Amino acid sequence: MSNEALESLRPADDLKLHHIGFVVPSIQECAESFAISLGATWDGNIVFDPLQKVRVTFFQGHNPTDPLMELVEPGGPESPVSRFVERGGGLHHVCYEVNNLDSQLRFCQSVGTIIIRPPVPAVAFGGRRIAWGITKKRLLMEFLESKRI
Amino acid sequence: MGISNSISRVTDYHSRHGFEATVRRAGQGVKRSLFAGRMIVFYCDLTRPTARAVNIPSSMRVDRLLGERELTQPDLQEITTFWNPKQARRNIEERFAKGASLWLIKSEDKVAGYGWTLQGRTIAEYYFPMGPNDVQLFDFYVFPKFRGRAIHWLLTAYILQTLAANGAVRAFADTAEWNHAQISSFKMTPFRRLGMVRSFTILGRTFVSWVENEPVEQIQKRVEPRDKVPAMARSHEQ
Repeated sequence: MSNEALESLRPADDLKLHHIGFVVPSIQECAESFAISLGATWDGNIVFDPLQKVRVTFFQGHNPTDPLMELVEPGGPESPVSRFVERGGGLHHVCYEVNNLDSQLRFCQSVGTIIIRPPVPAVAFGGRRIAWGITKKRLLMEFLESKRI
Repeated sequence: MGISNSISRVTDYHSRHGFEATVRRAGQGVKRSLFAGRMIVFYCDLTRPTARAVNIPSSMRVDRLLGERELTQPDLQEITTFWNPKQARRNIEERFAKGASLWLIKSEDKVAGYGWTLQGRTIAEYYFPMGPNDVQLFDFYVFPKFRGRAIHWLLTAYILQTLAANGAVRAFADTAEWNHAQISSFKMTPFRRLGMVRSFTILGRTFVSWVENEPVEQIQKRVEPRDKVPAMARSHEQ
């Protein structure tokens, strides 16, 4: 890619914080106390994503414009978050929603983010695509496409 | 490594992390030496197309070096000075002489990590014979400053992609049982766990015993491989 093309890359204007991911050993055991401590509402819906090998659920805070909180539980011993749970779990990632996922990923790569998981459909988001990257400062980021393709 | 060097390392660690952490680290060291012979072996069929293309960020690059002459002085210094420089230099000479390739991954022109590959043979006695188009991946290292950024995964995935494009058929790698970071990283690549071996050397001869041989066990038990991607997942990835 030429220097001019690189310079033309910038983060999407519509980038919006969608949720913050928190890893726990068991959603069933943690969800209610989590909802109480956050003052959030929980619909009790737990989704298994075979591609990500995790179970997830979402909490909505008092203010409907606030980003969601996501609880993530390993979906088996081969889950990418299994090791994280063994080390105690906790805050794991931030997820941004964006209209043009591919363009956002190109921008991320131009600033040194390593895309560890290219776009794949996610069950928890009705088949909308998600991708994962790790920034130079070791922040794990998830990107969620606004609309299903 | 001399005793004085070991003592200075312990003293240095104690001054930085305190007594409790030093005891924990020493315990970890003992455990690692006790189980040093237990290695997890990984296998990758390079003829199978993988869904993911590896894209190197623009601030990074991977160089494949085929001889010591291609190694610049600063890079050589970087990869030899962090442990035993003399031994590291000997290893480099020996590996290039056997036809191995050194893969350097750089972030903003600084060496972030490296790994070695050797095709058609192994650098030392191995757990099974290799074919002419088989490749062994060995001695991977990511410098502490660059850890936690998936550099090992990126380098391994890039190497596998390049080897497949160049006609290699199978790739093998192994890592110590305690090296969870590297095991997790290999699991993110097309590598699949083959099993666990224990090896020991007596009078210059290396003996190997399989502690687990998962594909054989799975065939005998008639179960699906543990890491098999569900049919639905596969259809998404293709």
